[in-house]
Amino acid sequence: MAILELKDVSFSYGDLKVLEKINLSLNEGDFLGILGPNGAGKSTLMKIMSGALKPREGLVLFEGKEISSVNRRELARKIAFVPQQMPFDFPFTGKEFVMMGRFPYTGILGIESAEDEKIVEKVMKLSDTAGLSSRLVNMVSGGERQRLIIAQALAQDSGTILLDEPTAHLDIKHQVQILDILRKMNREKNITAASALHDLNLSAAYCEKLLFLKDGKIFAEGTPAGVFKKEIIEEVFETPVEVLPASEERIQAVVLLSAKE
Amino acid sequence: MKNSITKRIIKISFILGIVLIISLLFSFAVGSVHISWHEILILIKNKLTGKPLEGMPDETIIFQIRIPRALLAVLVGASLSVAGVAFQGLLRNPLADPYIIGASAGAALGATLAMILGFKEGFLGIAPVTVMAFAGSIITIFVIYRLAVVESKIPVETFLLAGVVVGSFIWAVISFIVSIAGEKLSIIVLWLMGSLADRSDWIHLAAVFPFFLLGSIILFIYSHKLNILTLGEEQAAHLGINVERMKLVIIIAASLVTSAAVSVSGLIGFVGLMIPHIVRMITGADHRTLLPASALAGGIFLLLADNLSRSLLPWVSSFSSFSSLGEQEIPVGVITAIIGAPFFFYLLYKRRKK
Repeated sequence: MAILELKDVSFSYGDLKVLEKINLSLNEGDFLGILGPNGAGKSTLMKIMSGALKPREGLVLFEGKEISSVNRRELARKIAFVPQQMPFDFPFTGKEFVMMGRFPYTGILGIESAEDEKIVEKVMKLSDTAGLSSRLVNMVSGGERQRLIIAQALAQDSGTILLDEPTAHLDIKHQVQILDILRKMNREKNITAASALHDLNLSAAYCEKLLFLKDGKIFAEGTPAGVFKKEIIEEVFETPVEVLPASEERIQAVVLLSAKE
Repeated sequence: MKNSITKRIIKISFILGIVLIISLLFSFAVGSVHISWHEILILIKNKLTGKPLEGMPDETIIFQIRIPRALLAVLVGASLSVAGVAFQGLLRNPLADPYIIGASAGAALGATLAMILGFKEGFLGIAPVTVMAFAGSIITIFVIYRLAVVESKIPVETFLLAGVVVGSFIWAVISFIVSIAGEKLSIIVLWLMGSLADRSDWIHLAAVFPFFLLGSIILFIYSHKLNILTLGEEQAAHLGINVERMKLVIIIAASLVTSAAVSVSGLIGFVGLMIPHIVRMITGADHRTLLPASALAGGIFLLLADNLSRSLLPWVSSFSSFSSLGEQEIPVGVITAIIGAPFFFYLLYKRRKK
């Protein structure tokens, strides 16, 4: 079943066209990676899918309903959003920070129920943030912050998670850690995930479906094996590359050709 | 663990509440006329139980001077701190203060005009300077708000910028008025420094209290949403908050609280910036505990600062060579800045060393 459907969606900031006639559907249990060069419209697309931005033209349907007609709190229980960064100016504890993901479920003053406590404990274990429970979030490292942001989104207990380059600014170990968490949620809890990503090889390793954006249009989409082609990647990123075929030890991989002089 | 936040709110309010009551009783005994603790307690007991107070000569000093003054100090300190918490959360900047949106400039202009034009008529017994300061404050915030609104949204950067620009303009007008003020110069300057000396009576207390109460209740109801707003407006929206409506409510509530406080006290600086910041270091960032704790701590702090304001010069004058100072007060705004700035610096320094 389609959770999110975009039909002929276009978007522009003033006169600057960012997205043009995008059609896509995100189905239950999908793990979709959205790739493309800087400025291709990845972040804008994520925000349109989450309902934060309204398309200039076209329709965004959530479970068959126009997304802007869905009650905000209702929507927050069904879609969680993980941004690239969040401000960490205030000294909340790790647990308080993750607990904020329970907001759409709490009443006046956000008084937490025993169930909220249980869910937060569970997602903090799952995201390897249990040790940050009483640490102040303005004092933790970049990798820990990103895991806390993921934990907060998981605490939202939504069936769908949208992510805007959740691994930007992270080293390779922490990138893998974040993607492992998402894959686990996707496989074990059937969570639907769509993420803008910038690392081609990691995307191919983790996502079941990939979508290439170029100049605001969908350039190619399909399984990693299907779209990981020299011609496609070279044209999307305007950079000469070579695609190494999959072997027994690993999946196919992209390497840069221009790096060697 | 159930309802642990409610327990935390009650616990911290209880502790600070006791400190506040002790500070109040202590303040009633501070002043040039010596009145013993024993007499103060009997006076209060008799008043509360409706017994006659005749034959107690200090009744007027306690009930008409010291108690309203102490309560006003608590009220103003609490108001500035509550508004400080709200603006720091709204602007996602732990160093914002309640004057950032032009409330102070507007109030100063209103008060200055009232003094220079020599208004005699107030409103329901409220001093004309207070009425004009309140009107000036509200009008200025409204102008800044209108300037900052873009397509029915309030981008906080635009809001801050509009506040700075309008504030600068108003301060230029005030400077001009002050430059031609002549003999009224000193009363204007004293007002601008912030003092509780002139408005400490029951009427002004009754005028400020409803604004504080209403504004604080609204802000407390929104305190949990302020937590969420510190994640950024976009993320708050993703968690289900109607961000624009929330910002409007916070601005109105915090502005009313600030304007009412400023209109009776002049520009008392540092309280609204410092108290929330210090309390946050102790209670943590959760606005549900931060807000009530800051209200109480701000009240206690300004009360103690005002005691110093009242008693420091008379104490110095008791060493005979300074006897001419005996009748004067140091404006409490001066005290809050002189104590506040170094203390604040110390806290930041200590924290960095950690």
